[in-house]
Amino acid sequence: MQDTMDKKRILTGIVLENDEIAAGVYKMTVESVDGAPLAKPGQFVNVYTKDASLLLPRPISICFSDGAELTLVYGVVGKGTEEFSTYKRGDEIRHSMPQGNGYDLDAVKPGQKAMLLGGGIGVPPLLSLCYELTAREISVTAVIGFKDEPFLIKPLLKAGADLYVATDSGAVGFKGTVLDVLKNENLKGDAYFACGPRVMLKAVTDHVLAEGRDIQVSMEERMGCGYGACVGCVCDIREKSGAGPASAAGGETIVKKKVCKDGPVFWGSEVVWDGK
Amino acid sequence: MENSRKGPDLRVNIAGIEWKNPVTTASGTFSPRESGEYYDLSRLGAVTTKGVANVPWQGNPTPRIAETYGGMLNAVGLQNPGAEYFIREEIPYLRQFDTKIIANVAGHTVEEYCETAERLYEADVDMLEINISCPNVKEGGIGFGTDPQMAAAVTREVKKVSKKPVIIKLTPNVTDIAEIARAVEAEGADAICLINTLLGMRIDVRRGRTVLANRTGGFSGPAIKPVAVRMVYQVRRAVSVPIIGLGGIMTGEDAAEFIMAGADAVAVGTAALIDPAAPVKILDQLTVYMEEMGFQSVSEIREYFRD
Repeated sequence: MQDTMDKKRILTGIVLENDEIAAGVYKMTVESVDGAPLAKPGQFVNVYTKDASLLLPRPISICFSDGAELTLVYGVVGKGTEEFSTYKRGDEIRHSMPQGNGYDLDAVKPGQKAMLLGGGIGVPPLLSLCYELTAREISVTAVIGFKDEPFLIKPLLKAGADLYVATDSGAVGFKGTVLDVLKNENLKGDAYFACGPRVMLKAVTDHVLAEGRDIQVSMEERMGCGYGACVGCVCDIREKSGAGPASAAGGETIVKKKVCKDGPVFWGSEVVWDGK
Repeated sequence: MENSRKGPDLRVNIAGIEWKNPVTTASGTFSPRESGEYYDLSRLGAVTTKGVANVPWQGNPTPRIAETYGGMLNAVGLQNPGAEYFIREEIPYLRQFDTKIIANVAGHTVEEYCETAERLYEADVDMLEINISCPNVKEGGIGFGTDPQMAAAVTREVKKVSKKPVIIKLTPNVTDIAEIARAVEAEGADAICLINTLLGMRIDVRRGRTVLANRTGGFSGPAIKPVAVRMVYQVRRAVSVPIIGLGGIMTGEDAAEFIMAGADAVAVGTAALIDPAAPVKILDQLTVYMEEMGFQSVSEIREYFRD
């Protein structure tokens, strides 16, 4: 049986900094806990609130992590993230990590070109992805879209991305969406990675599939436990028959996969976009 | 670690099955491999699986989860891969651990409950828990748990096909819980588990819509504990079969409270969604509590209660 020491657990980290980098968007850096496992790009952290009336962990994507620091960029969207935004240097933060599957980096080879597509609070995980890909000598083009106030531009440039910025309002960069930029600039890559709101993910998936490529998309869903026990966060995924428990004979089956455990990253071609 | 010092005797006997301690998981909040990433499943007296039906169930649309003050709502709707998959993939995995296996059975009709119960009786599980109390499925589930005659009928038919101990899991969404408990005991229920979730609802007033796609969901967590303790207390006075008590247990002392109210064992549910290792932490806290109180056995906790 497994050794107790190998078990995952809730970690207590120390906040190093926690600054508002755009309206309602915070960048928190946490000192890595000794022995904490390393994360892959696209994995996430469950963060636990101190307010005991808020029971459930908040899933937050990993913007950057190494052996020394863990950086989370999150939007304040409710009571839990509001509490996180008040944390100061030296405060404790309870979290468990890494959660989820992360992006499949082997989908792109050295010398090839990767397209990273991000929308709003979906942009942060693209930073660690960019670092990992450029370290593998893969050239990275990132197209990131926001309502009107961009963030993480400098870090992405520093990570080596060829960067395109779009805003709905036109306040910064291109006026329009990430998809508009892809089309207008005729941007193409050997592999595609995306994180953002569902409507954006669907739009870029349609576009990329029409070009004859597939795309890895990081899905979002309201979670309960965030580690695969409660089956609260599911999305409809097409599966080749024979692979899943619900398979019918021949063709493909639609199965409900756990976003927190089986995802959050799925192939765009597998997601049933009209499922909800 | 756990055997190095001599502590209180935690063993309990639930319908002829000896558990090494009185703590199990609440159905729907435990997933063998995922939970096993956080603690050694062999530490628990028993593990209770998610609801299993005769065929795979898709569950409800999302959002399925909503947080509430000191609790949560869920409307998962018993999504499960079906009995065949469960028997092939889950049971052999769980059998690696030194713990009793309680298979939770879901159904829409008496026939469905019986079909699944019969297959699980033939499979390698220790006990069956019949969920006649899920608030999130339209037919079956809670419909059987709110009517004494129907609760009795399910119990009677399932008992015909399963020689393994049958636990009936009751819903709190009834006027008289004791009446339902007596009805299932009279038809041969070997143990009773309570409470399942309370039926609840939340509305997002900024969007003018229910938070859950299913509109209503099951309310669980520490906020419901007083209701659960009261119901365990009432059922203890109505029946003599063993009781597995649950509803908002967050600490070892919460577990002791259920035992004093009349439970022979306890289940940890929502706490495990907050801290995956909660079942073993609560077991450790219960052990410390017993040592501090000088209790040598679980029954001494119950005997300490001066009603």
